[in-house]
Amino acid sequence: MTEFAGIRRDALHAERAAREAVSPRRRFENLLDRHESRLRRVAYGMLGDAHRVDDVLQEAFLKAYRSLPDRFDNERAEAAWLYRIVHRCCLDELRGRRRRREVAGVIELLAVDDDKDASLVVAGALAQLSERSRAVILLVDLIGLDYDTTALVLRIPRGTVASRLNVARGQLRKALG
Amino acid sequence: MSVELEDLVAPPPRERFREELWERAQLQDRRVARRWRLVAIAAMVIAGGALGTAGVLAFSSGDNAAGATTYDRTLSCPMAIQGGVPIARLSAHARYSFFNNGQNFSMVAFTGVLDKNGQGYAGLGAVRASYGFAMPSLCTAAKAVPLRPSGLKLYDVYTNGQAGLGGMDNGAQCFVGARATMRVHANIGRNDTPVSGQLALWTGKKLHPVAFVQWTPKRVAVYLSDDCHVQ
Repeated sequence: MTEFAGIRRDALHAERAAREAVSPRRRFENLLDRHESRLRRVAYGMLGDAHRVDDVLQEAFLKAYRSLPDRFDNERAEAAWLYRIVHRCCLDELRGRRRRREVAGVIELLAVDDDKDASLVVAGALAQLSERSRAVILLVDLIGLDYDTTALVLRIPRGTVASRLNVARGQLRKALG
Repeated sequence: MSVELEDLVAPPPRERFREELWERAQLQDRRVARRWRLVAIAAMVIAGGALGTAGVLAFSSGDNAAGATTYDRTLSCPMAIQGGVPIARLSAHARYSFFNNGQNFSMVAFTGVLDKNGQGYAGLGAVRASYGFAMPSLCTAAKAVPLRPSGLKLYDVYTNGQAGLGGMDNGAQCFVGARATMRVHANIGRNDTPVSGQLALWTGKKLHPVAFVQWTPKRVAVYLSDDCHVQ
């Protein structure tokens, strides 16, 4: 039994470096600074309800903060991890909405606002797509993630991303008239 | 009007969005800490009962997990002088990570008694074969001291992600006598890595407790006497 062998070195190294350390909170803030605006667009596109975006994002960010890994292999892994959490939270929200039999606010707005607001028109068109189609078109065409990262986010094969995207583009074109 | 996907504009975040986020995170932390305190009280009651009735069996039975063993040793060691008086430095923290100069660092959960230069006397940490005494040949065998706070005040409880004592500071500096008695009790899991344990520091001719740490890799409870100061 090696007594107390490696720990002292580890502890001392960490102690020295820790004095100049950045807290996990600051690390996470930095992550949000880089991704929040795009995550916000994805969440809005998925939910179609501007009033729920903040709450769903906050829930997702809390979950992400709690499970923030020590490190990411690369930027793709970081993005995939964060987008996946937000995507899952959006799906949870949509499921809850179905249980409560609620209607997305944007659809009601469209009925009275006609097509004056382009953003609302797009949100309304997206609401006509399936959740799967919406997710893939938002991640690839709106946010600009590549197929591989999108596949990681949605946990589907790369080929499925391509085929879903093809279907989604057709559906959106039709919905936008 | 030609409308495209790029026209989708997300609503701006409401005022205080980030502040609310961190307030919710802190609220969750407090709830978890409250739960832990209740669990700790329950565990101490159970442990007290077990020690009272089962005596030494409590230590010799070890962990129930496959391949698990128990390490338990008490030694009396000469303490290094710092500023004219013997000082023991206590380090205690759970696992946490930090980012520095473009690199992420992960700090292992650890508790130990060190001297002013960071030379270890005794401790345990969540690393393979890292438990026990650093310089057992300089120490002498001593009668076991209790594995409980023994009247010491709870100083703090650290969980994952918190720097704790000795992580972001110099730890707790405790005045001790020329010799101090330290007991390390560790439940060793697979790969010879501690999964939980206690560290007790006593000193004086009539031994009295100075510090006690209840340690797991995810949660560390620290009890200190008035002879300890945190810088």
